Amino acid sequence: MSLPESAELARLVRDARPRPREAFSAALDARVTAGFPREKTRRRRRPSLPRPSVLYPALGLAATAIVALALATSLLGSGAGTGTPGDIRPADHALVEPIPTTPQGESVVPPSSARDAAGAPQRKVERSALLELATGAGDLDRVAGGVVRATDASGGLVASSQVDAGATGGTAHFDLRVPTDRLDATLAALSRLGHVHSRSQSTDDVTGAVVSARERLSDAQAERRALLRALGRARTSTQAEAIRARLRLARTEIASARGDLHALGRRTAFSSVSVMLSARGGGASGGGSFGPDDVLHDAIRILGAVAGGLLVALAVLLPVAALVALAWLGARTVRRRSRERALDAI
Amino acid sequence: MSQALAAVARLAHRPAARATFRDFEALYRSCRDDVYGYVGTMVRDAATAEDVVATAFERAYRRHSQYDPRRGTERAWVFGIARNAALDELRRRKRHAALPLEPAGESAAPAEDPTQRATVRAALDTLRTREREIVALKYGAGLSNGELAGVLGLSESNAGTLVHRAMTKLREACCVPA
Repeated sequence: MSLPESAELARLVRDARPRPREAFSAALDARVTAGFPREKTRRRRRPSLPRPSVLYPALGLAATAIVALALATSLLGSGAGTGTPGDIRPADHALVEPIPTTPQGESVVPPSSARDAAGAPQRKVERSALLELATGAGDLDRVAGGVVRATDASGGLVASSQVDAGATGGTAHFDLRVPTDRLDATLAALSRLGHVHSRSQSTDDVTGAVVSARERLSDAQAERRALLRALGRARTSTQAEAIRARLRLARTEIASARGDLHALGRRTAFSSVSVMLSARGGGASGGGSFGPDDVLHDAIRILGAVAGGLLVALAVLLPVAALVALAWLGARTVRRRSRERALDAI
Repeated sequence: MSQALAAVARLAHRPAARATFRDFEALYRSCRDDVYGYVGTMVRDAATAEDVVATAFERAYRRHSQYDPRRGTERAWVFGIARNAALDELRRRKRHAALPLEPAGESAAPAEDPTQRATVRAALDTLRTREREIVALKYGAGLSNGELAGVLGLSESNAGTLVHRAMTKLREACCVPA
């Protein structure tokens, strides 16, 4: 065969190519026309996943949204700063045991023992709270009256109050004494009077001071009984006078210890609540609880939290996505090279 | 984000299933024999070629909605699928016992000179598999250099160079006495 021209060679190559059998072509035509029906043994078609170009971005968006939502929820739940209502956690309440007391404070100091039946010291805790409320300028008097009424309703008293009202608003400050066992309910009632800017509670364990005062009282009482017995046995006036002088000292110690116990009882039976009330200009806010500025403030705070959550989510997801993309590219390259090697092996 | 939006937009403008099927059927009619000729040249076994061609067209049918015109013509896309199926078959054959290589189907086209056809076939057998593949794609299936480059993952100029070399080698092989 002589050296063929390119066009002639191309025609010869095309003529020499393999051609399908007619039976095969007919069978394949029929399958194409029928839309490549699946085998009958496959009764149920598994739901097919969307295309990767849709699936991966959708999965990424969903994961980002979930992580952002979780982070935003946790950020909002923990509060952005100190002194917000969110700072009052159940653990704080758990520190304070409910102490059955009377407003007079007598029964909280049982003279017999500072320990409970099991022998463990009964904790004595002094509680205090600070509440900052905001309200509209026209609501200052109403809210101030509400503070007094809430205090009265809880069985407490207003230790001091100061109200400075002006044309564009004003401030008020209340020092309240509220029965400890009604402190939470009272704080809740006070919080409903206006918009809570901050709310904090603190506890102070005074068990040691109570035990010390009781021991002083017990010792002084024992000394007085001994002195009284000694006085009965005194034979000279000089001895009697000396014993009486020591008795006076013992009585003074007893009075002092009792005073300390009563004072501690009052401090644990009653909680100190400080209420700071500020009224701003711009009119009353419909009950003083939630105005447009509060809505704006909360909206900005929520948006900030969501943006922070998204940022953290992106910081987590981007490296993961990069790794997944690298793994996918690597697997694709390996598969491609493996195919090409099959071609070289022939 | 933009990728997700683009994906949603593509879904929104996805053609109806009926129209897609008609498009695919036309595509199949236009390139069935060419795909078979190419696959037969690659696997060199009629039964295997039939299996591979059927598998390739079924894959193309199932993935027809994924075809992206920006990445090449539909013919090139189908030949890419057929090539992957053929290479998978060659890999499988390599892992298992090698099949006896038989002529892949008979040429139904009446050649002017049967001797010439036999000579060309013998010359094709002397080429390396890659060269034979290029010749089959270019002259057996009638792909352009651009389509050839898309199927093989090469640049168009590189594809043209390879075609030229393979044809030169084939022409020389045709002149060598058997």
